[in-house]
Amino acid sequence: MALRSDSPPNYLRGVRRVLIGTFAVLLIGLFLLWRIDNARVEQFRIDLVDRFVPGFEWTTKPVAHVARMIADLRAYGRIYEQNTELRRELQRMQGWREAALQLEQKNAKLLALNRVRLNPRLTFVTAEVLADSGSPFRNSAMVNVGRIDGVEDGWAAMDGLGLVGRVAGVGERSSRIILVTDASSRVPVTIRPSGQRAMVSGDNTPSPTLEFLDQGDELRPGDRVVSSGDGGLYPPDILIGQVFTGKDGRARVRLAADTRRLEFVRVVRSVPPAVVEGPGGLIGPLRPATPAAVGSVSE
Amino acid sequence: MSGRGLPGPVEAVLLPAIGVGATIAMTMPLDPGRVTPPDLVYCLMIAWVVRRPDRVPLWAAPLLGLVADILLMRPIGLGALGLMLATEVFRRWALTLQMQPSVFTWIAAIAGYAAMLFGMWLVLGATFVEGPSLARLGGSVLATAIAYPLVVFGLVWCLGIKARGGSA
Repeated sequence: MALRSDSPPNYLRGVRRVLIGTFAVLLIGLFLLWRIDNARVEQFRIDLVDRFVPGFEWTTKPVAHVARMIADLRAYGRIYEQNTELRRELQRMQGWREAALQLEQKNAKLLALNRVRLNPRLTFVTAEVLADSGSPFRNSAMVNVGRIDGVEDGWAAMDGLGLVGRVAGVGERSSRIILVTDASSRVPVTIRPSGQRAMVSGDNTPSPTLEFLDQGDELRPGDRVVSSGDGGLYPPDILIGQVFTGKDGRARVRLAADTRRLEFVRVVRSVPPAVVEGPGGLIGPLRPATPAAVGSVSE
Repeated sequence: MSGRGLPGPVEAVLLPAIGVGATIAMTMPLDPGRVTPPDLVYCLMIAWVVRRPDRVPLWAAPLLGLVADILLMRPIGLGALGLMLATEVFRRWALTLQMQPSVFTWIAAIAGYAAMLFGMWLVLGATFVEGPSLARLGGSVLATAIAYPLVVFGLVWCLGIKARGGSA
């Protein structure tokens, strides 16, 4: 029992046990606090992260760069196939480009005829992704814009093409974006062309599921899914992706945004639509029913 | 043995420092959403406590766990509790484990990690928090199983953190 000789004496063990118990009670209390008053604890968390994570930029940047280089190197292996593939794609795209140009001209003409004013409030802040959640519990990303840039909780985030997620937690110089793939994410959507309303709900897989469909049999693979703007959570008509049937037979959405290789995101500055309350000034004030008022009108 | 390795105070500072470094490493935006990163902090704590049960301070596990909880967007407090309990269990077994081949320690560490995650999953379910799927947690166990020998290699060969008993 020579090994046992350097273990602590008995009274120290008692102290240890008490300390462990204290820590355990404190941590359980902290977890319960997080569970009960989630919003406040999450705000505290985001403030802490805000203080520290932007300072890590010098470490995260080179590593992310190297990782991207390795991923690109892997692509060298099949450069020939890729080349032919690209050439074919280019040919197809040229056709599309022609169509797009024609449509653009037509659109410009129609807009001029219509005098349409596009919504000037739908602008965005471009942000760089600093870090991801790094654990299987959340699908989220940290970006380098915050309250100082005017970002607010609940704003939508897109990459160049489609919806990425929404801002959940804003710090002074950074904010956290919960991706649409996260298990807690729900996006009210419209499916084109059938016009059905549904809910895109994340389940921590790369393609979130479609739920609360009215008529599932009207759904076709390849249908476009765009945000509906219901509930005022997301601006309407942001592209989310295309419908397909997952391996488990459920309707899922193949995201238009590439959430796996996020580098930059656009945080869309959304202003809640004006709410119409009451008749406004259109109908005019209620007239007093007294004869004196009638007299004043006839003057 | 006292001639080899690091002096005590340096070692006491080194563990928390590396732990925070490992947490930052886990937040790196390599490939969000697809690959589950290994739990480097867990690997570090277990590998260290098995080799030097008397040198890992009591507060290290809850503190590092809390930092990881906050930075990795995990449920706050739960991960720290799991890490602390796992560390204390392995601290108790350390002398027994030192006498076994290191493959045995590896299996024990991974089984401990799986048990810890499953426990967290149960607690989350019991408190109605929408947690990750079991498959995703399985991916995390696998990644951690791969990372553990690398962490041990780093500790033993780069920092000289070896068991007092003799075998590495």
